[in-house]
This record gives sequence, C-alpha cells and structure tokens, in this order.
Amino acid sequence: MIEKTISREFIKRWGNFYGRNITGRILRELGKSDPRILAPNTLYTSKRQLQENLENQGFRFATESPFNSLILDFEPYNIVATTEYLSGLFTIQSLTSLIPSKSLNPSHGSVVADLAASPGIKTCLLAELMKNTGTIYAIEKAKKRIPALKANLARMGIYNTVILNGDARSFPDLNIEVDHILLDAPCTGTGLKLRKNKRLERRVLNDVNRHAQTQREMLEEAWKQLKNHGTIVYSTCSLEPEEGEVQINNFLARHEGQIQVLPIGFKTGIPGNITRWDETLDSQIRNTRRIFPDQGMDGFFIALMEKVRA
Amino acid sequence: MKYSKLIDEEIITVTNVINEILKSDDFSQMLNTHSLIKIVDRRDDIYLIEASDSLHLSNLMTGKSRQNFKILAFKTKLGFFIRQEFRIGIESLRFIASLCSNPVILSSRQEQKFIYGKDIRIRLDEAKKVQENYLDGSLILISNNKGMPIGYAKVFPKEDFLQLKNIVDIGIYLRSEKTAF
Repeated sequence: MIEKTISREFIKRWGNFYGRNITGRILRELGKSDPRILAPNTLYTSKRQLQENLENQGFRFATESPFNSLILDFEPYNIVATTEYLSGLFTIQSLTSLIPSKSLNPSHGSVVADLAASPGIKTCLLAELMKNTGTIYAIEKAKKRIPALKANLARMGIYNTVILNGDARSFPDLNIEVDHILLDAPCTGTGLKLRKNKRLERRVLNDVNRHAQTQREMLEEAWKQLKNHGTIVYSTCSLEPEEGEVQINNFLARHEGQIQVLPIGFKTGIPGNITRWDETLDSQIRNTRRIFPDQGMDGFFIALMEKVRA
Repeated sequence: MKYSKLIDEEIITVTNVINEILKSDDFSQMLNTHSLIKIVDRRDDIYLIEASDSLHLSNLMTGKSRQNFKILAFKTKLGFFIRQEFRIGIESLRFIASLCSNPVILSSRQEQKFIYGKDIRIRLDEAKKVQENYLDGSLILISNNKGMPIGYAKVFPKEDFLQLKNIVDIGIYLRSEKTAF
C-alpha cells in the first residue's frame, strides 16, 4: 500500500543506498503513526511534576521514554486543551526533534542562531538549555510560518530570542558573530512519517538536488559567522544522502582542516555511512548519525561540527 | 519598520500599568539597568531590553541587515500601544508572574471559564482580602490553583463579589494562534 504512495524512484534509491532489509523497514515504519511525545519545559516545570499533574487529569504515559520526554499512551481529551499546554509547560514533537538542540547544548549567556526556526520547537529547547539567558537569533524566511513561531515562543515563556523574518542565506549581512548555530535545514522530508508528510507523495528526484543546493548555500553563509571554536549542528529529516552524509562530506572538502566533526552524544541510530555510496566519504562522517524511521522517530540525519580554524 | 526609545510619557504609562499589576515599584527599579524600546510595525510593540542588547539592535537596524531582515520580536515583549493607551500583552505573562507575588488565584472551575475568554465573579468571602487590596478597575495577574499564570483581568469590587473582566488569557493560543501573533 505504502509503496503506491511513495515515488518508485525513491524506493529504488533507498534499496541501493541502504539495502533491501532496511528499505523494507523504512517503508513499514513510514506508514505507521506515532504516539504524541511531550517535552517538558524545564524553565517552569520538571518531567515528574508535569507527569503528575497530567495523570491527575486522566492522561497516561509510557513507563519509559528517552531524552527526558513523556510518551502519551492515553488521552481522555485533546491534550492541547489543558492549562499545562496553554501555559507552556510542554511542547509536542517527535523524538528526533529533541536531538539537534540537545546536541548543540549551548552554554548560558551565549549567542546562538537558529537559521530555519519555525515553528520554534527547537528554538524553545535551545532557550531552555540556555536558561533564558544570552541571545538566540531565530530566523525564518516563510512569512506564513511566523505566527506559529511567535505563538510558541510566547506560550513557552521564552525571553532571550530575537525573531527575524528573512533568508538565512543573507545571515552574514547581520554582521553578528555567534557561538553556536542550529541549521535544521529545509529538506525533502523523505524521513517524515506519512501522516504528517503529505508532501512525500509529490516529491521527485529533482527536489533532492534543489534542496541540497539550498542547504549548501545556507551552510556556507552560516559558517562565515561562526566564531572560532564555535559549533554548528546541521540536521535534516531526509533519508537522502545528498542532504546528509554527502552534503557534509562536500562541506568538509571545501573547508579542509577547518572543521572537526564531533561525536553526537546519543546512541540513537547508526553512524553516518561512508562506504555504501559510490564514493568513499571522509572518515569524520562516522561521527554523524543516521536515524531511520522508528517508534516515535522520524528518519533523520545530524552532524555536529566545530570550527577549529578560521 | 523602525525602532525607537520611548518618550518619557510613554515610559511612565508602561511603568504605571506594570507597577499596578505588581503592586510594587519593582519595575521602576528594573529600568535602572534595562530600557524600553518600541518596534513600530502594524502597531507599536513595547520591549524590555538590557543595556547590552542595544548594540545588537543597532546592528540589526543598519545597512544590509535592515534591507534583508525584518525584526518581528526582540526578547521580552511587554505589550503594545493603541491610541496612546498601553495594553499588556500575553507574551509578558511568565515575565510578570516571576515578579508578581500577589496574583488572584482561581478555582479549577473558574479557571476553565476564564481561559475560554469569559469574565468571572469571585464570591466576596473567597476574595475578601483581594478586595481590600485592589482599586476599582485595576489590572491584576490571574493564576490557577497550581500556581500557573493564566492571564490578566481588570477587577471591579462589588458588594457581594468581585467582578473580574478578562483582558487577555492563555486560551488565545487555541482561539487565535494564527491571527494574534
């Protein structure tokens, strides 16, 4: 059934890249729906306190959940109607969305840029990690996505963020050097579960090249404004290597000796693949992570890099 | 779009509104280390910034920055001006709650009604102390019985009860997420 929804070109590519077994698993998982994942807002509550409050109202949660999250098992009514949600005590997101901000782990008081910020879930998590100190520049190009960004930051009680409407590829024009950059880049979204990704039905291979070009330009412009020894997280919710391992491999080649790819502190997924493609990629790609769609997880790629030399 | 510092009259207006909610002059004290700015777009939005933020803001408002980027929010939004009147914004809720030691606390039932945008009444015996403290029409912070701030209201003491007129509440995130922000 799901094979009819996704373009044959993509299925064939995944077969070549990841092998038959993994492709079969990807197709099965993409068709499943995810439970709702709650990420407590640690600025104003704790996981335990939030869980207790919601359980008193009849909500039930899985006994175990990663990344300090809560996995919703049963909701007597829509959880977004609770006072806890409306007063910003948690966000609802996929588990993979928690990884980029936690991997970047910005220090208190630092200057951070989130280059594709809407709807602001990752921005909120950055602000939480920074304890609402320092400055986050949340940049979003699409005007229609701005209200959700503003509403989420307001609801979550975030007070260290500057929201800018503009193209992140003009980031150097801001003339600001930053300690950390989060680039959760616009992508084909081929790793997203189908229920929340109607786009996948319309995706064609040309989209991969178009997005890869945009990502390349965003990475290059972001790099110019990163301070020495600053860190950047690059992530996409795509299964295409051009938007993941190959993108980072080319980036490393363009900036030889300037970048160190740091290990991601989470064991989720597998190390970025360096041998299964036509060419052999830089060995540093092993420090990136490739995550396949799974329970509560979207397909995802993430790389954490440090600028070791300007 | 442009930004500017507030004129003295505007600073007094904003300070009075916030001090009224806090029932103290804590906010006036805060202005020794912070300043108020106005970002003029659809309306005049008022932000509280630290001294160190001024440089960031100047950078954003010059040269190519100004051409290529539009500032939509700058850290702590307090509210906005409409026809010379300062209106408190829902964005300030957590910030004000962190400074306010005397919110009016609602029961679960009253809370539900309030976050549906309704005005509510509190019986006098429940709120006797509150009535003693608040003047007719003064702005107050509203919390639920778990200590979460849920909105702002104007209070009108009556003979047997307090009338709370809903000014803004967190239900706005459900009612008009796409239009209010």
